[in-house]
Amino acid sequence: MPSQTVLVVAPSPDRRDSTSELATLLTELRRRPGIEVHVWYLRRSEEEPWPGSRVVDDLRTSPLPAALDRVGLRPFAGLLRGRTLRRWWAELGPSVVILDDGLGERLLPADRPGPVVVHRINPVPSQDDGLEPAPVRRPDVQIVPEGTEPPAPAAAQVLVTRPLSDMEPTRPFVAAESRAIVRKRLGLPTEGLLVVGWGTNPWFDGPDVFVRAIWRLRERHGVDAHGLWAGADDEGEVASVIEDEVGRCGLEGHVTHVPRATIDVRLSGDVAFLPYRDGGDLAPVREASMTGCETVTFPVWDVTDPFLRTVPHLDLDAAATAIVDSAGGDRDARASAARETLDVASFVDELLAAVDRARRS
Amino acid sequence: MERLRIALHALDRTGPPVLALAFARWVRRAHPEVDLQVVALRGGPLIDEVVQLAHGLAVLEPHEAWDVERLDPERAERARQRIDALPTPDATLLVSVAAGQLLPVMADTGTLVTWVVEQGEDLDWIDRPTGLRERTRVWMAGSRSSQAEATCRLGVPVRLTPEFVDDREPVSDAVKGRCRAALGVGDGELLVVGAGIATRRKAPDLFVQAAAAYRRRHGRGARFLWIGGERDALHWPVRDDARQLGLDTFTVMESVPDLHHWLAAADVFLHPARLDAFPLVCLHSAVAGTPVVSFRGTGGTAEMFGGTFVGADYPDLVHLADLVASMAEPSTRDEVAAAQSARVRATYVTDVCAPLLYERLADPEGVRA
Repeated sequence: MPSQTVLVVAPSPDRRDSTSELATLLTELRRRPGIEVHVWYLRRSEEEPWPGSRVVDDLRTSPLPAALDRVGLRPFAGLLRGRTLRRWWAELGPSVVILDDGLGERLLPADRPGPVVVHRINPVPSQDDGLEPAPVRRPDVQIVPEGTEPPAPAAAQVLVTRPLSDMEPTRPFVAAESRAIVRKRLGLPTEGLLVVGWGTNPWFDGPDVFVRAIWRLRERHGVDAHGLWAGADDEGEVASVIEDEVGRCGLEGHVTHVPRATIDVRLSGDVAFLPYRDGGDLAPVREASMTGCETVTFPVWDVTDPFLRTVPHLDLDAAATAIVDSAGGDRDARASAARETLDVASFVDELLAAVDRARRS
Repeated sequence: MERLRIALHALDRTGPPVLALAFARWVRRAHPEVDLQVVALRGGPLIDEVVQLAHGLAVLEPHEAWDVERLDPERAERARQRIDALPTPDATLLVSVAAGQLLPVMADTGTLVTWVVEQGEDLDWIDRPTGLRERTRVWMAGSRSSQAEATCRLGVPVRLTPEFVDDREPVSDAVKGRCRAALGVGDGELLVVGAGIATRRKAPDLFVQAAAAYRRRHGRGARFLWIGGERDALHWPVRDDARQLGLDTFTVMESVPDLHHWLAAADVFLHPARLDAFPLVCLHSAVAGTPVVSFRGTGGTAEMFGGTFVGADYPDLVHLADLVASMAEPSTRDEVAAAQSARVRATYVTDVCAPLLYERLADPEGVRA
């Protein structure tokens, strides 16, 4: 028998960043010995639900209560639905309930002491926000994004969180030796500054801008810089954009393009430079952060992140200065700091401690 | 020479058609006895002027596709008949290797002379199955940069025969003033113009980035205007860049029938092309009395202006912006403009270059020798 059963109640499957982070959180919770995780959705949507999850709204259309509805026996249909829900609940016996977006309080049993209740508040509200009553019971723990006031009713314990990433895949590249092995394998110089960029779109991801930044570093800032562009596919046009720009800038041998790059390529650099014209996926940026690698970029992400250094749009002089600055300092200390704030494992430790405190109180 | 045919890929306002038209005007003026034909694969806005000068023919309808590797037999036969209806010339001048697309349907050319006026991947036409390499009797290049690449690709001598533009009457202050007023350029503001299609090679994106670098380093005292490219891939992306940069000093204008007035109204012509063999628009600017600033090593501008060249190493946009700013000083601007204009007028205008081109067409054996 598991020592803790965690039930996560989510409004409906969707594509919010916070939902991806919830999946990261659940994966980490499941890794912990003695913890069993179940997911219930309040409603269905066009998006795929979490594997093995249950949809509470399915009770509305289940055959027997629906038949009772049709013959005018609505109160009996309601009783039947309530009984089924209670049976589900009893079978699970959750010791912790996490209400994503704070929604779904109607599912909680009225009797106390019940499970420890956690409200997870997200930066972007759910599309089902207006379909559920606002919570009235005081939760035991609230998880709120940084910079957000905990909504009422406030919990005794509030955990402030940044977007979460899974540290595991990045862990090997915290060590300089691992990064050096990747460099050697790719035939990159072992000395000098390795600036990494990644992307697949020849315009929005700015591979030519990346090449010109390497030129600026070398020719105007006197830095022995090498550029490494990590792609995700064959990207014929990106390859030709990089090749043409490298030729025009006279940077042959100083910029390398890896068209089908794996995570080790992205994490092999001293600093990342993403000359994007449009915000992209922040997950690789966070992965880089967790190895202590800062990212220099233009103001395309509406987030405040200590590991993301923003310079004025398309200003390569400012970018070159920031790249040099970002590459300095104590990388190990940065990796530890990133892990504390971004790593899902650290956060789960915090969450479980808060749950334990709530249970004891 | 009794009959001369000029062949080209289109009659739009890009470099080769403008060059071909300048030569056709000169032939009509200097050799009125010559029966002149202008055959273009496609039409375009220059066709009106062409038919006033010569037997003009645009072979394809605007909607008709043309792939030399998979020619539609019916369409090819119709094109062949239209060209065959013209009398056989003594010589045919292909202006640009892209004009080689006509060769599969152009049986009788007389002496075929190909004038290479491009660089880079545009030269790939040499090796496409058009018959260009086999049928060309004399190869010429419009600039040293084109000559070097063409010689390398062809492995045969390529004779330098410079490209040129028509000299023009000075534009009056009143016309210049109207152009500047139309753009809302204030007194004491520097008007910086760039022009061309909106592709990576012509680099309107770098024009915008130079405008941003200018503002960062020198404030808001300049207006940047890009003319043309409204149907091209980078048109909207570049406007988005300007918006993201908050560049209210940048404007885009659609192609204009007579660029000369706008070039004359400018204080600086900024040509940020990544690759441009011998940009005629820079010659036009110099003739209009406007100093030209561009990159070094991205084509023919350094060759074009020789000792009067003003430019930065590619891709140093900061230096390029500083050079533009240096033109804010009227005496510097006038000095550069006068020097560049004098060089172009002495070297690259129609009356200087067209006779040499004509002579080489009339006496191809002499050219080969």
